[in-house]
Amino acid sequence: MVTTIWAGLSVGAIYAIAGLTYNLGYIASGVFNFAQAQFVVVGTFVAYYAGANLKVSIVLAIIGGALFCAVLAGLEDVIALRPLAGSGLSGELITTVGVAVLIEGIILLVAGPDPQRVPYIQSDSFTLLGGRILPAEALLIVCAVAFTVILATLSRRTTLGVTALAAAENRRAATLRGVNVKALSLGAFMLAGAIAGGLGPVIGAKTFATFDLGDGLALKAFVVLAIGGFGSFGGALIGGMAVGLVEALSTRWLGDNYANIMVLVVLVLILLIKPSGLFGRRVERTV
Amino acid sequence: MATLKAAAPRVSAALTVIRSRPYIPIVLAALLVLQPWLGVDQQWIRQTELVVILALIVSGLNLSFGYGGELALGQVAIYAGGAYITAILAEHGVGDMAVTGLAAIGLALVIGLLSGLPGIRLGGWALAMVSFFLVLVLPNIINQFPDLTGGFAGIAGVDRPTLFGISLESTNAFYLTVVILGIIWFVFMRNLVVSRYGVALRVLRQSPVLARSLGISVYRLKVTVYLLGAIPAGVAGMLFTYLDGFISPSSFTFSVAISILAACILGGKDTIYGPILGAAFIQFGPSNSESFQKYSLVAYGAFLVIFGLFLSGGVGELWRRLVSRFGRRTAQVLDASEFDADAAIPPLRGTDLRLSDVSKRFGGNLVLDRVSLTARAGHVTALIGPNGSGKTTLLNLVSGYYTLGSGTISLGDERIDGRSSHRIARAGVARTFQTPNIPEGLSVDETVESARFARHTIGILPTVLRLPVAARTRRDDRDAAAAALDAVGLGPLGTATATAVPLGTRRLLEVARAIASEPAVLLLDEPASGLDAHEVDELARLIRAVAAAGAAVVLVEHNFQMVLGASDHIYVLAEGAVIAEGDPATIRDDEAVARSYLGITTEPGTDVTGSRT
Amino acid sequence: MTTVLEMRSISSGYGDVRVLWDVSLRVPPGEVTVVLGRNGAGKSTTLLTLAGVLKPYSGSVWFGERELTTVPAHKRPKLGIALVQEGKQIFKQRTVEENLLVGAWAAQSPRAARKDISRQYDLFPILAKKRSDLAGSLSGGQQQMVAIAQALMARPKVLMLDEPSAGLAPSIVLEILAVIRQLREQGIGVLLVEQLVDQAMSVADSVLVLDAGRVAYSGNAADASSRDLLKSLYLGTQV
Repeated sequence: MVTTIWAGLSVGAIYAIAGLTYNLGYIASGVFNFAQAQFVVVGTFVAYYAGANLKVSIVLAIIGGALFCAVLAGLEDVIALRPLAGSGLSGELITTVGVAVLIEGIILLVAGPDPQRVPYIQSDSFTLLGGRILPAEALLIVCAVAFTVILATLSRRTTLGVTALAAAENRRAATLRGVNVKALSLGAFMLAGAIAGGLGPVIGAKTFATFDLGDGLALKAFVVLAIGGFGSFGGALIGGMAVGLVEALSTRWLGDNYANIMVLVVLVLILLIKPSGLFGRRVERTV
Repeated sequence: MATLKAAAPRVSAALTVIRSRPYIPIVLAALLVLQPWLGVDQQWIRQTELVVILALIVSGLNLSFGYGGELALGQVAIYAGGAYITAILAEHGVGDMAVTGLAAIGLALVIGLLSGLPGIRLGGWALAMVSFFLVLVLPNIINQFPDLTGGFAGIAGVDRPTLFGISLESTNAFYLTVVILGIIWFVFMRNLVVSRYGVALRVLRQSPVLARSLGISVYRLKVTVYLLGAIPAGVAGMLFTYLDGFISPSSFTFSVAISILAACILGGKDTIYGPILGAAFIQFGPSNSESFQKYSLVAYGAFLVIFGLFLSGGVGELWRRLVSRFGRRTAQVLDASEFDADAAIPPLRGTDLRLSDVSKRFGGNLVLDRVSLTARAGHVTALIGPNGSGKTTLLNLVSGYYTLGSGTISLGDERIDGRSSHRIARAGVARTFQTPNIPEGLSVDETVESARFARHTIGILPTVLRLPVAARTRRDDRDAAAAALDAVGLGPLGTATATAVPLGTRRLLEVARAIASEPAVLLLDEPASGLDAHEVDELARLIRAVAAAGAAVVLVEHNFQMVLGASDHIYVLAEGAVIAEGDPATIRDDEAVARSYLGITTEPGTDVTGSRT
Repeated sequence: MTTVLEMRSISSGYGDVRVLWDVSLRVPPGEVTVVLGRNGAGKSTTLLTLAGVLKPYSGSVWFGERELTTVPAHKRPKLGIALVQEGKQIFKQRTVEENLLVGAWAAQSPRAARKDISRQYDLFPILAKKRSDLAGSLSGGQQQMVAIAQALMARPKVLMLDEPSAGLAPSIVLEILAVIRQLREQGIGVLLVEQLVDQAMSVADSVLVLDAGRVAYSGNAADASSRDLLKSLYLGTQV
């Protein structure tokens, strides 16, 4: 049973990390950037190529993944997201879904449809608190918690963070106080990309480099934010762990097919009962 | 009426809303029907069938997304539902397409209701994501009941059905069925879009607030449109099953959902025939050959990004732009008729509007402090005060956009506070907005006709079938709109594009629309702002005429002189409380008003306007 | 150093809706320039154009010797131009202190400005008591003070205020007018858009009246004839 919980928490950690990066993007631009999950996938493929083909150290793989995805994210912001500012749901959803599908399509073309093993982290499981856990899984949980703390601290306790939150709340007011809102947005997006891409070796150890991981991951990240509240990093951690546990326990008790079904049920319940999530306030973007 | 009439000759036919005749679709339909006999090879037959099936699904999305404004990819689940129920029924020996067709439509409506009722309430991102998730979960649901659905392997060996005893076994017979069903649906869709429903949908898309102010229940309209969009998806599923006789979960994947979305955007999400174009593109392009398959995702993604960013109206918008550029008729000089001060504003059954001790807080601020006022039928009651005094909040409370903190609002003997805004509008409260709220894509006539949608209802079925009762209602709409437009002096402008006319004309248009809704109370929100002196005079005369016709007119306005001339009774608001009330002469001489509202200290012996008392 | 903020023959608006037609005005340092006019006359549009939020169709904006027309909005506060919008546009989900700290972003030396935050608390003592409260929980008048203090954190040379009195009790309006007088003493140029004619005239050095997007009157506040002109403009009689 404890093994199941560890498995759930480690998958949950991936969801939490995805949720954190979605949060960053949301705070920066007020947009739920559907394509964010693709940067995670790209990160795992960078790690795969770095480890299996180029055979470089894990540090290089992390840096490479972080840089590559930061650039991708920045490109997306400038080309696809900025022109959209304020065009509302249909524009933003369609364009960000489009970017996601585009990236997925390119990955498919370049790497093919088969999942690839990401070679960095050793895979002998060990026992912890009565359950088996893989080193990668433990690392994932640690990373999720660590990044939550880092991002929460950065946003609330540094002047830059407070300014970013303020700019998210009222862009024009921030502009009038001398804040370069566009640069802030770009920076936040690139940071989100970097985190997603840099964690490629760790995430890939659990998920393998799989080209179509992004669709499900994007949707689950939405559930994570719905539970934890859009704009809350702590909420993303809790939401992520919750979704991971729901999946693991449903699979164990009800069967494979029920993992996704139960997560959908949780999503619908949360949206109907507490749409603003457990900790969040919708950061409304006012012009 | 010199200034407003001066606008009339400037309205060239280039501004006229072009309602094109469906010549091209008719020719296309004929070609499609005749295709088998034009010596076309089998491949084309099958491709056409696939295009029609995809176009049906996309058309449903156009209806709920393009026209209804809610993005939900529930179509795929409904498509799957239609397909599976057909296959399951076939396995149990049901081979008549009339039966399976009805079953597919029935299931479509059930799934539509189950997903739409809560879904539309969620709206926006929540609805879109839940529907995406549903697509993700489809294979799980299908595989969970393998006895019924055949699990991964799917269901095979479904024979072509019979329809009313005729076997559809042969290629041509089935092909004709598919094409004819497609044509029937698109005819219905077109009839719906060009009807008053189409007008209402365009109003809804522009502004739900506007729709509610016209009495339209936004929720109900969205659910209706969502359910309608489910029907073609269910039928498409049924046809798909019969096409190859085989279905499996791999036909209902996320990738398929994306291709539907891409086709919708490509063809133009708010067009009638766009889905056909989009479906053809997707079918003949990425979905087609083996070698193309692996590029399909890249293609879909690229379409979505490019069209999402640059051409959000899709190819349909390109088409519209072309048509309006080349379809210009020579400019006509429109006749300027004189404004008749006794012009027939139809008699209005006005009712007194009474506010009692109304208070409202926003966060920590008390915006309205126990305000009481009465607007009597047949009179013009004005509300003046500086910015931030609560005037607009008051109007919005009456309209039902905000909930009351405390107090009551009554229309005659009925309390209306606490009701939803569209119910309040239906009870007879009409309004204009600070910035004229005129939907895109409508003519002046249609803008005014939209006021009648909620008050004189007509069902969907008569509308799409173009029954006589629908035509009669449309005629009544036109007559009522013409009367209202004549009353405000805009009669000649009927076919002009509503959003293209000058500001003063748009304000009058809003008043005409309000008159067409047969109001008991008319709320005017700063109607004079942006108008020049002549226009203000004409507006004042019109306001008096509306009151004389019987309605209770509430005028919120900054232009003190206009208010003095046009109103019977004035309430002065400052910091959320009524500081003075009375007839214009009294208010003019009132010291407190001058000090707090105008910020002017008067010299003894003069009134607020500076003239000697 | 006399840096005058100037608007020369500006035509401006929103998209294809033209609001200002050939408007020119000057905001000299150490003076209060008041802009009056009915709703829709173009007062806010003027401020937004000066602040760089709206790009003018034609004409130019100058600050001293420097042409600002192409300088983006977020760079203007650093040059010394601050706009306090109407409607208390502060960051309601942040504390009062955080709001002020964000205001320091555009200062010549943000660090020094942040350390100097006590100046704002001296100017607006009530805010000192509320420094850790969420800005959204303050009353309307207090929020207006936060908005002004926030702008002052960057030590602007020109402060533009858009209807600071809207929705506020007369006593608070007097306090704000007192602050404006203090700023004038400090050599800051103030551009004040107001609805309340007399209150605005009580601090004005010069006055500009806008009517339907054009300058209907421009002159010294002390000039007696301006009062009658202003009144008739407000009351809607012809200009």
